[in-house]
Amino acid sequence: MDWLRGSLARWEVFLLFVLVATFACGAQVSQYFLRSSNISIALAGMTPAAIVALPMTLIIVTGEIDISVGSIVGLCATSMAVCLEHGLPVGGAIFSGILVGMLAGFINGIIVAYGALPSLVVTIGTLALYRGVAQIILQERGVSGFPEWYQNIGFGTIDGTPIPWSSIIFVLFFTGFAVFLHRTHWGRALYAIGNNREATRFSGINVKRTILCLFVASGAMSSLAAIVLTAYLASARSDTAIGLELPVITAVVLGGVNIFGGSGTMAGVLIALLVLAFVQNALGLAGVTPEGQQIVTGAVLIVTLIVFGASEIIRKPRATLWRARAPGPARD
Amino acid sequence: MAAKIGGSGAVRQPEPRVYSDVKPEPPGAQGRDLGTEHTDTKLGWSSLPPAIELRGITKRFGSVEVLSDVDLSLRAGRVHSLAGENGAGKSTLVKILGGIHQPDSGRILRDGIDIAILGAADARRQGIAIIHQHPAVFPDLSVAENVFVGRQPQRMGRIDWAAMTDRAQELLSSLQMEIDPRLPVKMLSIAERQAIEIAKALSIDARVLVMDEPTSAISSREVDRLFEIVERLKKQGVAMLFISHFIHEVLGWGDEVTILRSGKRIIAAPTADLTPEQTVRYMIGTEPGAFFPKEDTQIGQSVLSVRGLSGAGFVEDVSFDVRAGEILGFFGLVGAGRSEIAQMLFGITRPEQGEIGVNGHLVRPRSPKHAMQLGISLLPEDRHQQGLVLPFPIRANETLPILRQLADKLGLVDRVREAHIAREFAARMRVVATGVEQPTNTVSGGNQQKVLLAKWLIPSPRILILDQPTRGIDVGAKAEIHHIISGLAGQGMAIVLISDDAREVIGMADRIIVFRGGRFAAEFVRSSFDREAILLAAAHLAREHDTSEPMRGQLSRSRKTLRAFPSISLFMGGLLRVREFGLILALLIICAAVTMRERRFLQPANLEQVALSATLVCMVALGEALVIIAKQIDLSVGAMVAMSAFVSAAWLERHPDGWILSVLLIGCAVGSALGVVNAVLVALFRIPAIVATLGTLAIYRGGVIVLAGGRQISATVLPESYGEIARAHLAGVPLLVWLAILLTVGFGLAARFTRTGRNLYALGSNQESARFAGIDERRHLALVFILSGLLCGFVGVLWGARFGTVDAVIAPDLHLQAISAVVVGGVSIFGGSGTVYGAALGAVIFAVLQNGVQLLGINQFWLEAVIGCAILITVIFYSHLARRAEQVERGSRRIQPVLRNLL
Repeated sequence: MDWLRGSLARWEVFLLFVLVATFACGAQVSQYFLRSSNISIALAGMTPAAIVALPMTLIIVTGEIDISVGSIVGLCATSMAVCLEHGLPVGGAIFSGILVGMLAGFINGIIVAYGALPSLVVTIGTLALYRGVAQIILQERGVSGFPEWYQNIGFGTIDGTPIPWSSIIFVLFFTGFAVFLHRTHWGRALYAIGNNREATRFSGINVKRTILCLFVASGAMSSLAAIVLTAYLASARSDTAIGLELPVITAVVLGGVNIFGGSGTMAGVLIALLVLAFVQNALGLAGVTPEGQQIVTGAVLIVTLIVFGASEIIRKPRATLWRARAPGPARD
Repeated sequence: MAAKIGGSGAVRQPEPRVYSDVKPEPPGAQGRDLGTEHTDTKLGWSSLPPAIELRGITKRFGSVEVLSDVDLSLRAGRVHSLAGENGAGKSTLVKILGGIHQPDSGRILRDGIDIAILGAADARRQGIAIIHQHPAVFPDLSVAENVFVGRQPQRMGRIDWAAMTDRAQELLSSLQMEIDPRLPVKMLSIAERQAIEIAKALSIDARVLVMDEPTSAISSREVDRLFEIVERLKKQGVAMLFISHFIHEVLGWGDEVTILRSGKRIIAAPTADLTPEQTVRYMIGTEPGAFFPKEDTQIGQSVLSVRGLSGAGFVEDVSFDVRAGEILGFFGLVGAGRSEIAQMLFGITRPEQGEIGVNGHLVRPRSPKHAMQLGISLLPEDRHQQGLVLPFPIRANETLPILRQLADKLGLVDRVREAHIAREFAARMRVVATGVEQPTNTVSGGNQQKVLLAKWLIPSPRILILDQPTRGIDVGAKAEIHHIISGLAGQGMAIVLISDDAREVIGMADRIIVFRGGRFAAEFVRSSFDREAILLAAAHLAREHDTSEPMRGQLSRSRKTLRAFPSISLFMGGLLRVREFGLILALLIICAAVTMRERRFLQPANLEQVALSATLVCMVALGEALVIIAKQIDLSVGAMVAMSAFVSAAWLERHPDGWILSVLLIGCAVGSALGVVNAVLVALFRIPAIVATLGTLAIYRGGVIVLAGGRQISATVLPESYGEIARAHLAGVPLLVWLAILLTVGFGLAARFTRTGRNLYALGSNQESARFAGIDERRHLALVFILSGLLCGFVGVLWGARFGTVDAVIAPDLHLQAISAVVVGGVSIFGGSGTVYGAALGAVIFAVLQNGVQLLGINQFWLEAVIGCAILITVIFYSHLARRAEQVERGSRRIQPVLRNLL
């Protein structure tokens, strides 16, 4: 049970307390909070960001970042909209969306990995580029007319239960990503890359190809988020998911992933996503506007980091705030 | 332990005179007090008190006593060597002298007066300078700035660059180093960087120079050079402490030597009285035995054969064979090409020519993975950079190369087997740790090296290439590793042993190949090993070099001529200026292109619009540029602008008769306050800037939306004078444009000509060194974030004045625009380089692009795509330039061997 004392006993457990506190406060705020219908609304609302947070965690663990995810979601939504406009079946539209997402991710990955350029700058560039292309194609039109079953992906719940279909999709992918990161040799390689790229290369791991694959995965997952989001909104527009990168990166960082790479766990990111979903939901029930919720989200991020940093300092007087709390890598 | 040293009669050496000893040993020597010995007239020691003296220093970390009751005195004009195994307490002692650690007890005396050394900056003030093995420099700053960082010569309140360059030149020539003080330090070798550190020490008139293993990372030619410098400094009366792992240097360089073992001073004596064997015995405490235990092995068939290998720029026509059970030693000076050959065999770099045969099959290692499949393992030279993932547990480091084989089809790692293998090999290598789960960075260097050896033995290679396997580790661990290597050869492994230490290869190898300048120089078989001949073969080049001293002048001349060409001078100090020149050129081209299609572009009214839309982004970009130069980032700028715009407009709405300047003050106050919050989070709570400002971005933006409650404040309800700010003209040019120009120039001058400005560059270039140079990191980080906030506050007021209406959602993408302008303007996102002028130009370029898209009647939806492309193109272009500059620089270094061939 080394890992319990090691990584979990630190950041993730702390986050769990925050989550419990959120539930306690939420239940105080409104009698509806703990109802299954409310919980399913909270979960469904968070799913698109949650889906994108999965590959983002892997990317940040390697020390890179992908700012362009929101624009990729918009571009995928656009391409699906265009397909629908031209009378293609929904299946074909979904296929085109996934293809476009992977292509967008591939372009990011090629420039970052093989051009050896800083991913922060590259993806700021493609953030503008992909959104621009989406706008050129779709302009100000919105395309709706998705079939019932499609819209169910975003809103619907499994018959007779309050569990949203989108959450099922997320849980499947979460399990896959968590196993990938913590149990496979590829996952170990990601931590190695995030800690010491050169030593990883000397160990026979193809760093460039790994990073390229991560960006392609990020593009593919963004297209999945586009499907869920267009289903949720029942329309596809070029401005779909503007600014999505902010809640996604917030969740990953809140989840205890070191923004400079090398450490963090999927469990932490999951708890962080739940915290964010329910904080926003509770605030909404309390009548706080979305903007107010935004403030609280930002505050939760900062206060959590400060509080945890402070507790860390009390425990280890000589440790610096940020570095000290990074959970040990590969102590999976 | 001590009795063994004295009592053993195995090696009869004249016993050294011992001034002071932990236990007066050996019995014949008289333990005299070190203090009285100093006045020994026979040695001609001055009767002055030591320049610096440590008395009875004790230092504990937790319960471990790292130093106990250690005395050390350094005298003017003398070199004192410090020797001891890793972990003997040498580096702790250096850190106490450097002010990094405070002793728990004991006294520090300077010229006989008690002092305390509180921090790195204080050490420097007291005239103590430390030269590290890998000097902590600012790679982006020039040589001159590195020498004078934090205390640049000033004239009339501004940095006097000419004087700084001249003084740096003087200092360097006094060390007989021909380095152009304007070169950025990232272009220099480690030895040259050490010379810069020494120049820095001279510039502060350091009276005590502590050299912490300066010779371990430089070639022997450079070591000779350093020795000359040390001799010169002795004449100047500098007191020096010299630390080295090389016994001959400890004895050859020092006038006297102190030997530490397990934190205690074992002996202090004149070096003349000690033999190398005695020194080693004092260091390790027991009889050293055979250092290099090469066992005789059965040598089999050739496993690896290399023919005519060339590549990596200067390795040429190298051929050799390694047979099963054989240890082939590669000897040569640093830069002889040994590591490059190893990396070509391991698939890290591709050879340009030549054949590699493994077990008689012709192969071309494409990648380390491929090389491993061929049965090759490479233990790389640099344990920290290339060898280990230091934060990983020992287990994960050991199994990293073979993890793929431990996984099933789905990639799931068999963790039971992994732990088993890790434990088995850690035990076999005798790694001392609490277990294989101990993080690798918490074990000693020698143990790390054993972990590294385990890592490369686990794939069970047939060919093992060891690049400096015992560099920088203590004598005991060295012997253990030699023993392991010998055993491996005994099992039939073919081993290539690369080393700087001639005695190591002589002791271990069956055959030695000496390399020189990337070529084969000589080969020796075990029966004909001759240390002198081997050293001579390797050093041949150094002699050639020494006799043709003009070459060095030639080299620097060749650098100078290169600088004459503008494209090549990119890698020189002119990099920044050329970059801005390129930006202006790009700007002109874009303007010309737009004008050709649409004449209206040049109409004054249009130009004014362009200028106005550039100004606001430009001012925000100035702050962002400083933030990024200091290696931070501020994502909250747009939200800060919105907050300040709304608050100031709301105030004006309530106080329509208010003085217009007070609106500006309120805006600036709001911006600064928000900036202070960012500053506190980053500088005080040490939250990474990207995370902190991501959070405050949400808070500020949410805050202003809540505050506004969906309301818009229109200029029509605001006093006329408010809009006047944006409409006012001075000499036919809008006031705002003048303001932006003024601010840009002001910030540009401040960044270049104030110490604070240069400190930002230093901080962005190398945070660690900046801290050591006594730059207050917190203060500077706080400063940039507050400045960024202040500028955003100012821009917020102007925003409302210019656009007429203010609501909560203005400037939604301003952070992206500002960062784009800064990056396109040539500021490195990694900090330390670029100028605010570039950032301003970047903002102008985006404004022109935006205007051009509108004018040309291109659908406005294209704008974002165009901007995205512009960012990508410039970033790719800059990285291409940087890489080319690096190649040119490397090329100019390579001129050396070419010239040598001609001479």
